[in-house]
Amino acid sequence: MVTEAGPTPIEFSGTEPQRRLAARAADLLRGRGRFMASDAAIRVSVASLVEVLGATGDQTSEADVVAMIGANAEVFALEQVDGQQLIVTTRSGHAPVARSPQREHDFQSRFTSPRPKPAAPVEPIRERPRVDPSWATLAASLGDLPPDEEEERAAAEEAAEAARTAAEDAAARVAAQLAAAAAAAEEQAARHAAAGTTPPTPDFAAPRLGTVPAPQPEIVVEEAPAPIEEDVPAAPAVLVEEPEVPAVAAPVAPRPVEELPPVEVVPVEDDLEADVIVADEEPAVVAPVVPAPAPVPAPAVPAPRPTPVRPALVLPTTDVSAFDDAAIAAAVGERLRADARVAHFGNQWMAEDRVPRFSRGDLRRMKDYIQEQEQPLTDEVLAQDVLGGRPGTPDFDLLRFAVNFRLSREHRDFDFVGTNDQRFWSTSSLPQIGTTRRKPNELGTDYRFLLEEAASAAAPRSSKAVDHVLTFFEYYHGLLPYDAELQALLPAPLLPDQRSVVLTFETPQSYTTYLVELRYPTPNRGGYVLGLDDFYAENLVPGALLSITATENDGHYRAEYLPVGNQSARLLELDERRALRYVFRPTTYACGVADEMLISEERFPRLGSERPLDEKLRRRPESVVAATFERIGDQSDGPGYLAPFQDLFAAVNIERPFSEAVLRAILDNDETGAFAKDPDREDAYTYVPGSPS
Amino acid sequence: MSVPIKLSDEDIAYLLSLLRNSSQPLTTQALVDALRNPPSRS
Repeated sequence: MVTEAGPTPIEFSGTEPQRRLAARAADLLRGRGRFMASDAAIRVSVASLVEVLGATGDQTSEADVVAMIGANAEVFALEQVDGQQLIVTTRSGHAPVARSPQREHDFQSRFTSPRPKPAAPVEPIRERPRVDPSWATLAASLGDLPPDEEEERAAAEEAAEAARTAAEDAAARVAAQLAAAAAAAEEQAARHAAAGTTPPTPDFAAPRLGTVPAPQPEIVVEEAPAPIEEDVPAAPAVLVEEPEVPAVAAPVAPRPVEELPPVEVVPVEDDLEADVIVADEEPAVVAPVVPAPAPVPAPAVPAPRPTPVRPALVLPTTDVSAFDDAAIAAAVGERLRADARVAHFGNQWMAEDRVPRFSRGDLRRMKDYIQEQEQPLTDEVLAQDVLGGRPGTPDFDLLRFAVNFRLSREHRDFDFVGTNDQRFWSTSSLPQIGTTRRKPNELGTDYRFLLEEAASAAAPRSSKAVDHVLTFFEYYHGLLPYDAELQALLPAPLLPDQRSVVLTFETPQSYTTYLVELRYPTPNRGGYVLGLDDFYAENLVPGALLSITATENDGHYRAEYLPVGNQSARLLELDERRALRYVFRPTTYACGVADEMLISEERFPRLGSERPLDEKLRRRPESVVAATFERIGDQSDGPGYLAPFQDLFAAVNIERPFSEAVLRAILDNDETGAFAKDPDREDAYTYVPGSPS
Repeated sequence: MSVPIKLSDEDIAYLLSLLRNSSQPLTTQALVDALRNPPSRS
């Protein structure tokens, strides 16, 4: 059921016209504020009220309205706003009452008007405890310094004064105790005398006034018929010159004095000024033991600072002025390498115990990093990237040395493949640098002839530059022979058992640096450089002139070719797409070439469509020379083949490496007579098939 | 052929003291120079 509450009836005051006017005004105002809150102020100007009342037939004036408001002050109120009179009431029929909302507890007030921070009471100044001077930093720092004489004298006087004061205090205490003991003894003696009794024997174990534990002197009984040792339990430290005092203990009291063997008192410590007094006729009476005044401590004089003991420097005794540096270095190396206390790597030496050590984790991370980079890395890279060393810091060189020395001990995991200036480290699982068309051992066998030719080579790094004409074999495999010229240019192995070294070849004309590997000769295989495949393929052709220059870094070299204008020719290639076959293809190149080594179709037209020699056949140099004669030789003058030496040398290097000396030795020293020098032509040879074995 | 130099034990002790007192690795040339110019003669 829905009910609707009607307006609250209002009782008005005043005269009848005023009550009627008030009722009419209240109706109008309630109608205006119909949707307002019951206690909200409904404001209407008096002028508009008079106008509305006049329009509805109730003529009145503002004075009447004001008078009506005055007569009904509980219902209406009169306000002045901007010189205009307003009649105000509410729907509930009461004059509006100004209310101030209670907002101090709502969230808005509490969050926007926080309480002021209470003023902290002033804390009293806390007294700071004084630090003992012995803990003071300044005193500790200055303690090492020798004090001057005044300070020493003042310290001594102060210590002496303190000791004197302590001694006086102790003496005063002893006197008081003795006086009290004497008084008590007299009183007790008088009491027993009055009673006619004997004073009781004092209990030895009873605690004594002022008795403190003291070191016990040893008492040794001498000249006794039976070994008698009398222990003196109480400390007989200091005696009192009052033998009549019976209140104190006597360790050997029941025994007559004459029965006592002479005793010898041996003080335990020198600083104890203890005396033992044994009474002649009476039981031994020992006065209360009091501590002896502490000896006056000597003024504290700081001990002199110990001088660091350094082992005396042993000076060398050998006069080395007559020897050169190499001889001395050899002697030093010979002695220090055999010394386990010395760590060495290359030309660097250090005490082994000063070289940083690496954990197994460090070694594993270095190995993983090398394998992750898929190429050998230098000690500098390992120290920086793996071990976190910072180049330029004082310890970085030490860290590099530690990398080299420690890794050189890990033969199973790491291989040194660097030079003195560029120390590369590799692992056994890294892919091979350079060509994979032939195995390294096969290439070493191909270059075996270099073992004899390069035996008399100059010292390593004695040459600054080498010029080389590229052969087809070298071009195809990306190789350089480690012949006498390259031996004089490239470094020797840094370690005795080093088999190869990784070098960097910078090619300024292509803005590229290649990582190449020099494989040192072994007793039955020649040495060679591999890893130049890409450089050759992108810039050179077989027969190109190549210049290799050394730099200050013995592991870094500069490879350059002779730049020329673009040239075009049909040059020999080995077609690997289907069956291996030599083909001539048009080629454009921009490098200087040695014409006698250029393998062009114009010079050797019959090489096209030839197949590479069988592996069994190419192992024998004589067979390769014979096959080359058949490929390029001229058959017009007889049954055999005729070929100039230069053509023969260029073409024979297609199948396998030959030096001019090796080729000429084969041609000149052939015992079968198949190869012979053509007497009619300059530097030409003939070959008659079927003759060589 | 020149006679190879033979270093004494004092020479090696001197070199070891140099290595122990160095915080960085020393080169062979540095050791050679140290033998040529010992402290008493420099």
